[in-house]
Amino acid sequence: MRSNLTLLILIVALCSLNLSCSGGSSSPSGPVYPTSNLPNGPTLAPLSGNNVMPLTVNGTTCAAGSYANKPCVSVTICSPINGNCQTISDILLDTGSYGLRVFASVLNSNIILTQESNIKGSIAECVNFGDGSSEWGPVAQANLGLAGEPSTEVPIMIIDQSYGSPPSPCVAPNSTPDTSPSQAGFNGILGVGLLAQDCGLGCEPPNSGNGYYYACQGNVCSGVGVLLSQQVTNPVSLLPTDNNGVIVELPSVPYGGVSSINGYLVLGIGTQSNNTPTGVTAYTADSVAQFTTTYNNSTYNSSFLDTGSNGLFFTAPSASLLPDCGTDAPGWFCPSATQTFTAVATGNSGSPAPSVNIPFYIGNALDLFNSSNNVFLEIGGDGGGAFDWGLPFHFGRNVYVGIENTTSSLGTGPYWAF
Amino acid sequence: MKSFKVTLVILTSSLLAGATAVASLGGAEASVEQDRQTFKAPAATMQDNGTYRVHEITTGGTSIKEYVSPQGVVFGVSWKGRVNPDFQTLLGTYFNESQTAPHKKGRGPTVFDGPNLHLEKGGHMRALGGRAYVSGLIPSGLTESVVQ
Repeated sequence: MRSNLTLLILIVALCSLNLSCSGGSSSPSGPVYPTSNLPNGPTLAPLSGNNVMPLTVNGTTCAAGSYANKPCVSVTICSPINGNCQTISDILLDTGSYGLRVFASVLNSNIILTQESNIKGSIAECVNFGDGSSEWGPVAQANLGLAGEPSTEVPIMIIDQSYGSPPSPCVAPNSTPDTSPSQAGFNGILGVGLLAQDCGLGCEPPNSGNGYYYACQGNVCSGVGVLLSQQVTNPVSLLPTDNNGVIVELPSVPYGGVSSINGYLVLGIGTQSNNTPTGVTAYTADSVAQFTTTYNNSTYNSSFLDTGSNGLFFTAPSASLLPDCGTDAPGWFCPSATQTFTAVATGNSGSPAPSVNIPFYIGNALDLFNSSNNVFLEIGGDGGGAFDWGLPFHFGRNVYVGIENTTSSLGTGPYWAF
Repeated sequence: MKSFKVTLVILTSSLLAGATAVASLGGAEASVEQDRQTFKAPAATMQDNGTYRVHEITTGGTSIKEYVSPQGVVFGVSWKGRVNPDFQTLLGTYFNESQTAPHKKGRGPTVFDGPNLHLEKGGHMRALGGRAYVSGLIPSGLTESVVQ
């Protein structure tokens, strides 16, 4: 409030000096939203249905003290053996991965799951993430409840670094294993991106050296090929009807951020009255869910949308315009004033392939992290060779995530639409 | 995509051990066969564009490229695929420097500029990627942009 009062006094003082006051009619109080024609305002209209999951960013579905820009949902896991169920919150919503992963340590002892197996042994897997982290543990069949949808049997991953013998991609120094919810920052990850399985055909038999799947006998685990039906699977793709994708619906976020926001994860695209595509364009992706972003005269073929990345990550036009924050927030940009940029996203098919200008904003990440807020539109950092449209891209939008080999009125997946 | 003047594909590595494979960053091209065996790579390709050579192997769903100077020194490496490479092998003597990269707050890619090593790691599931190079080893007339 102090700064607003100062501004008001300044305006009064300037007007009294007979300077132009034509721009002074807007109220100096209240949050400032960037003007970019985003479809969603700061609050979404209530949405209900058996296909609607509450989604918050640093809100009630996230653990207290979560890192900035963390989108969370709750899922219900039931035992196919004894029918016991458990609802688990603080599950990271991740459109950059595929399948549900939950820490063994958060599962109640009465949730008995059946581990997948084949002729080579009991199935486990090792996954690497783009941030350098990894997860290891058994693959099991669970009955999964998403929103009010019918319970669906789906292969999930139980994160457990103590299981068997983790292979080299899932141990330091090749990756940083997620060893506990407190260390990782979540109870699990719900991967609802563009693909149906976490690995796909490249991990089917006889490809034992696929780097993902392992067969364990006792504590000895060796690489193994696994049928698609036994691979950790995007659970949305197995729903009876709302199985062609999801919509991530989030409100706008003002400069300076807010403490939390409430949105929705809607299951299915054009399958019910509450998920009909309106006012969006589809941009197709390649077989590993990448499309093209052009920015600052560079073309990034390996660009992607990812709710699991908590900022916008790209190559700075110059270190003087977007300097790194340094030791207090390494890897993040800390410009002295918030900057506006524009990149062009282009789909991978179509004649011509659809293309759109996307404005984005970068402020001082360290100042924002040090504020009392948790949800920020304008944080980003160096992306290396990729353009990673993380969570801030999704603020103020309904982003449609079309699963591979499914169709909707928007086309055939894999595609994004916004 | 880069086009190369000469493409040499070696199909049976066991017969041609030592002729081509992958070396560690900063290492000598001639010492590469041991590293290739560490990666358990079934085959390797070598491309020579006249200015520098690129060795490529695919292992565990990940493609690894190593960039070799005319003097036979690996000045850059890159990878793309499902799993991260064995960084201890791939980064060689620069591995310890890579371990000084600070931990980033939240979830996103890593970009690290050490005294000698530049390292980038990022991507997402099924499409991880990254590269590393040592500026002081890049042959004159070339830039880091060839490592990709």
